[in-house]
Amino acid sequence: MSASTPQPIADHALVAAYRNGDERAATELVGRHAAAVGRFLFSSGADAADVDDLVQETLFRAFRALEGWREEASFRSWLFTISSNLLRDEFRKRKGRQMLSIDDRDLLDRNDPAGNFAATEAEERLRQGLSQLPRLQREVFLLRAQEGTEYEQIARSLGTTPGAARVHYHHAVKRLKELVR
Amino acid sequence: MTQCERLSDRMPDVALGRTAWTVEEQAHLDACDDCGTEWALVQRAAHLGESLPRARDPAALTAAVLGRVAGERAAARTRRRTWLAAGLAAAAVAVIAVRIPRPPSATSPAVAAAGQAIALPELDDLPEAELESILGSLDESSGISPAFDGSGLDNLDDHELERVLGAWEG
Repeated sequence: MSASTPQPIADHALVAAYRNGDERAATELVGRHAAAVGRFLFSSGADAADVDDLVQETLFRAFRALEGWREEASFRSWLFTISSNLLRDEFRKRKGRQMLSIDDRDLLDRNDPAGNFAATEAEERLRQGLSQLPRLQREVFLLRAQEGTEYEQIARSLGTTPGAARVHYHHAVKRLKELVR
Repeated sequence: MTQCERLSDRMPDVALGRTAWTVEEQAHLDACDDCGTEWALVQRAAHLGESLPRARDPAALTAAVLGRVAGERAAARTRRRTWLAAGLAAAAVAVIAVRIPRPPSATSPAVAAAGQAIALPELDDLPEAELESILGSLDESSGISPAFDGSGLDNLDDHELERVLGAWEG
């Protein structure tokens, strides 16, 4: 008889365990989702230098209001929604100051400056394009492209229908093709 | 659903390495400019941000997050207690204020009534001389000194005594 691989504990079970006082469950949730939240924030236009703080703020808001998580949406997409609200608040605080910075080139691998420069230029164009999309289009696109989330799941997370989520995705793609040319 | 739409739906999963293009799909991507552009876009988006520095150690990050949550809850409890204490203090002041007897004020109803003129319509028809006589007797009675012991009344006859008492009673 072969040993079966243990199934990972579902997010909702970890949330329940944390509510019952198990802080290791909270650490597990943070370990699962923090990096994805950081990428989502960066892709949505956050400065690379601010990502750590924004991830912490997102998680703080989430753990402060865990009862606000409707389990029909995935925990990660709920975190993305919080991140998106946070980013909007930050953007308003800065009163429309340009959030994308050329300093993000500091993230280059210095062993291959030419190759990475091209990659970063492309990344920057994509981030610029994403930051110009309406919020729903951006969220749907990133949930699809970065997480492979199905339209049904996206719809539950964002409080819309799968058909509308699909339309948002295709509008996002069309607009990005124009912006990232 | 067209071939372009089918490919568009599959692009995220292929970009994330969950599946791969078939030969036929790859041939379509190579031939169709629109799908080719979208595929490049989705691939780039799928890996956007992977060059970010690794996130903080989950245990340290969790400790920081939960520390903030606990701090905020403690602050909220303190605020609630402060409001509760302030409310109780206000209630206590109100109870004390209600229970301490206050001296009658200058505008109490009894005083106000005493200050009003008393109507005596039966005096209106009296002749002036008789009125003078009554007023005179009233003046006399109101002028009684505190030392008056009533001994002087012993010398009055019944008729005079009746008249004096009648004047006092009005």
